[in-house]
Amino acid sequence: MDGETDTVNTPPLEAPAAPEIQTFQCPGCGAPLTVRGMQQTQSIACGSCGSVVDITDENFRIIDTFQSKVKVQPLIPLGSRGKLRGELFEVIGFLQRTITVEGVDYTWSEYLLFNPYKGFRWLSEYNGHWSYTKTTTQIPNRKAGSAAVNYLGHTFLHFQTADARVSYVLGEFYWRVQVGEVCEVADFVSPPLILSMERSEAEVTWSIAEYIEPKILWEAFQLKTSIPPKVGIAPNQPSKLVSLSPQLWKRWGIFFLAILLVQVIFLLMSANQLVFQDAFAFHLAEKERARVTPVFELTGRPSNVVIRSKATVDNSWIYLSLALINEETGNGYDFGREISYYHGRDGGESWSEGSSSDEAVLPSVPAGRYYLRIEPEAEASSVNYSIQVYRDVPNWTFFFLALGGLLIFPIFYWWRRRTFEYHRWSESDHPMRSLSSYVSSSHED
Amino acid sequence: MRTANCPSCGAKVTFQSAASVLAVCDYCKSTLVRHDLDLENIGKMAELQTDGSPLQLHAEGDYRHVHFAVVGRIQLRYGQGLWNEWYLLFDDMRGGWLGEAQGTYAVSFLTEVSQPPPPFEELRAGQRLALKDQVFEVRDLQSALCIGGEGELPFRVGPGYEAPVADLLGEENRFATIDYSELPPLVFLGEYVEFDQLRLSGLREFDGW
Repeated sequence: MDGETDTVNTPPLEAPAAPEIQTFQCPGCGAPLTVRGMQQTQSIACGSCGSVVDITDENFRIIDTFQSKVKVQPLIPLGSRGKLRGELFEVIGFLQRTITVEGVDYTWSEYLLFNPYKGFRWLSEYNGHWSYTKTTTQIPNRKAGSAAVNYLGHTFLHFQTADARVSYVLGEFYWRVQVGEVCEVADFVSPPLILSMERSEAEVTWSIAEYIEPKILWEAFQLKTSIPPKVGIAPNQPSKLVSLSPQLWKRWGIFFLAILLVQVIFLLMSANQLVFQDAFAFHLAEKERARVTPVFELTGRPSNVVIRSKATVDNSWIYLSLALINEETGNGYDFGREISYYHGRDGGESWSEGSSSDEAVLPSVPAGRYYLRIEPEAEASSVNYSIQVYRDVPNWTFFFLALGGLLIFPIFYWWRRRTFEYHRWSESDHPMRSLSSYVSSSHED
Repeated sequence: MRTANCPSCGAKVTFQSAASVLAVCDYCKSTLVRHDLDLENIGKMAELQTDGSPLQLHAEGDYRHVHFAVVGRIQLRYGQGLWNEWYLLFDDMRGGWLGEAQGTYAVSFLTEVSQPPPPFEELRAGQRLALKDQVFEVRDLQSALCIGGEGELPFRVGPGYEAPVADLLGEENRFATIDYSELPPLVFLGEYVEFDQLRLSGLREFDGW
């Protein structure tokens, strides 16, 4: 029982059949006060003199007087009506609450909304960010051993716990509000939702709020004023990137599947055919070292030709001047390949350089009858080498280039999100240590 | 449905529910207790306090697809303010309660439990309790003071009647109320509902709303 009611056994006389909007004079300054919350209102704060009046008291007792140096004008005036989520509400009360962190005051505003059938809701505003709040009828489950909370299938991460004091009041409230009254507020976020626990000596209440764009409010309450700009990132502000991501990831997946499909088609269509192979020997002593291979046939659409060569090089090299020549036209592709392989031990560590094999790719060679001209050069007295010619070998270059291009997007996306989360958590009890540290790692306390 | 005449003023008094044992005469506010054939006048019912409740007697609604009518009401004072328990008569003849305060609505039913709940003095806030195979957590323990009643009610009430009451919350929107004014205590199980879910009609009208 509250201490004010001493008439326990004799219920107070029934109030006169009250008109729905009641007006009376402020007992502090005589200014007219309007009661919009009907019989639900318990106290009303006068905008002119700062008196807080208990209107459940027959004599309109003043329960508090607060002096504020500045008069705060609510961004949505008392008495404004608007439809939110299809439900009509009227602004009947306004208060500000302040927390002090490391000597700095942070103040936010709360607007009490009323509908005689649906009860109360709140709008809260901080730095141009707005949330629409409702008291919960359930107690969220605290996760054992962590600072997270479960509610309606969402996991909410602890954001901040602080003592909030009422620093400004105007209009009506369903309890006896007093400037200076303090309660502990703990916030848990799962954007765009935020769960708040308020603990006072008398009770613990939980409320759930959803981030709401100010534009929606300005339209709902038909405000002509300009919308104050948003500053910083709010604890429950949804990242635009987050809300877009399922679509974007879907698109990303489609692109990935597309290039994979193209690659599979390439693989299936590739002939990968060995058209010529032979082994040769180089002797420094021989005068005429150039050779010409027998003619071989390249068939199909214009596609690549891969020449793989191997040589018995051991701390030596061989240089092959090669030409793939079309027998009919005499046109050729000239190219040179060096095969060198060196190895040894240096200060107890073995090293090697080069390789005894090589691969050269000639793209887009049309079909026809071809032969190879080979002119070897080397310092060693003799080197054995072999040459294989493949037609239409599958190529992975396109695939990896496309994949690389496709990866730029998720990496950029990840970085943008990380930056957003870093700024979100910077004002919490759990700031991220660096831009690269992972969010949940800072919540294990 | 049974009708009788008020022994005090002669006005017609209706008992819509067979479970109702008490009715308050609409006309002269006499509190009438039903015996086999006649009505006993146990005195005038206290005036109810004007509150902002949108409900009133004869309002109607739906709960889980069953239509109900509001036939009675008990007005209570808790620490914070006023609370109404509206007595509902469902079309399937069940009686139920619609608790209502400050735009919060909760429907509950008197439920038989095989094991009586622990005594009031042994309960602590935050304690867990199983009722009818459901787990509940004690949210608060207070004393509810009856201001008065109207319409018909399934038990005798009078002003000044004070009941120790435990409020418990369960999973999802479920809740339980244990009324320790009787022995064994009365257990009410129910759930919180949204205003729109009840599809109420015949409500009080408020100017401008």
